[in-house]
Amino acid sequence: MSLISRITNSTAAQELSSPEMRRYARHLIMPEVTVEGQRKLKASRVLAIGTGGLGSPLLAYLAAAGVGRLGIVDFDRVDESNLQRQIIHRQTSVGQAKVESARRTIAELNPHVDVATHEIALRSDNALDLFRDYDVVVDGTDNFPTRYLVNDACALLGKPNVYGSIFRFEGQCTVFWAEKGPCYRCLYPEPPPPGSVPSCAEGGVLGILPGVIGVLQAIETVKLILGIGDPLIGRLLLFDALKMRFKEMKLRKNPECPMCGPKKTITGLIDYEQFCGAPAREGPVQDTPKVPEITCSDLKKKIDAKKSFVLIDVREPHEYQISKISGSTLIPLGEIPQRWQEIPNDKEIVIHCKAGIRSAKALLFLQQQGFKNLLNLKGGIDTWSEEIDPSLPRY
Amino acid sequence: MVTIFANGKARQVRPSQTVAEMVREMKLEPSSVLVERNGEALLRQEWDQRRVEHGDRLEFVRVVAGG
Repeated sequence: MSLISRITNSTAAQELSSPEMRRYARHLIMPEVTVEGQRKLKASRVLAIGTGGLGSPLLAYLAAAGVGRLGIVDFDRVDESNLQRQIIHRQTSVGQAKVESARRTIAELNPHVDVATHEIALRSDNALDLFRDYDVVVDGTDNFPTRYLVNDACALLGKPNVYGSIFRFEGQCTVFWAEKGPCYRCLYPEPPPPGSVPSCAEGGVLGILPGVIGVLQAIETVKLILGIGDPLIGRLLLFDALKMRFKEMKLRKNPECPMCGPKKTITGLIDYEQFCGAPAREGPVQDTPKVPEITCSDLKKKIDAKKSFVLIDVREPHEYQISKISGSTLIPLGEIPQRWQEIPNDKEIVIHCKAGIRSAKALLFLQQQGFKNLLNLKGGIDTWSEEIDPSLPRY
Repeated sequence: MVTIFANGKARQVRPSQTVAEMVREMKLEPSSVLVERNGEALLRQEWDQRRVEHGDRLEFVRVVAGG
């Protein structure tokens, strides 16, 4: 029996056509699946939050496996820098809506799947209505506000949330289902301070890594639908690609959880951007420390006018290799406490990094060392390459 | 001092040190860390009461949020 009663109840109405029988032959001959299980898959409705690194492989495999209806939520467009890992999108889709790009690939993989695209930003005022129509929600989003929102909406509706997250060479996967085990808030009652956990846009990710975690999410989703095996409820699976090792952490439901504990205090969705103090978008965190700034166009004028100043780049050497503003001196942020005396304190200093956050930290440190004439390049080299020098590659 | 194992590495700590104190000393951001002690994940509110003992195996796992 499926772990989801709606699927069990509507399986009888699903018939498999001859082409479907041929297509799913390797499923049908397994006693854990059979025609009955394949009909459960056809009766099921799965909602993927995000069509990024995790969403790509999980949508492709769930489509191929014969999930009857796939919902896709994403408001983003395909960017060239997505293609290193987001394999549901193609070179020809760059610039197009991700949901449409994903729909096309799924249609080519399996025409028997019904795809519902939701080109919206998931928010507190639309999540519950959207989730209601689905049996399983798969969280492949890239930010904390949306993760808390998905968790809370699933807990309120009693739906399973197949969770995956990735960074660099590490991945984590579990199934949150408040009725049967812990929820995300049992593990993380408070969101981390904004900017304290780097995103893949800031720290990078091995392109293949989300393939591993997204496929694990797809497997867990299919197991819930079929009602087979041991679901990953109450267990956090940790994957380390460098060590090539899986580890499992046993999780407990937190009796003090405000979302799913006996004394729960949360009865509806809240403002998650406010809760997390951060916008629900990957990319530069908005709350750069307040420091004196210079815009890219003003810096350009200063360079063109041959004004005397020192330009310090506090990024890492591997970033400097990708692109640099001519005339800059590289001192990575982590080396500033040892090397700040190399910086002349009688000249105007302009500091930059990729987006302006690390350079603001460097600026605050130099202020403490007595530097007076300091300016932070607003938007960093990213804005510089966008507005001033398009020949510099963005990353 | 007693010896414990943090993420597999031996580490000397004061006896009766709490898990919360260890997290602070290791300069980990408390809201984004999960701590497992001898195979059991600790709830956040338990960090202040649980004192590490000689031979304890602690795992500190940082949350990741990318997708």
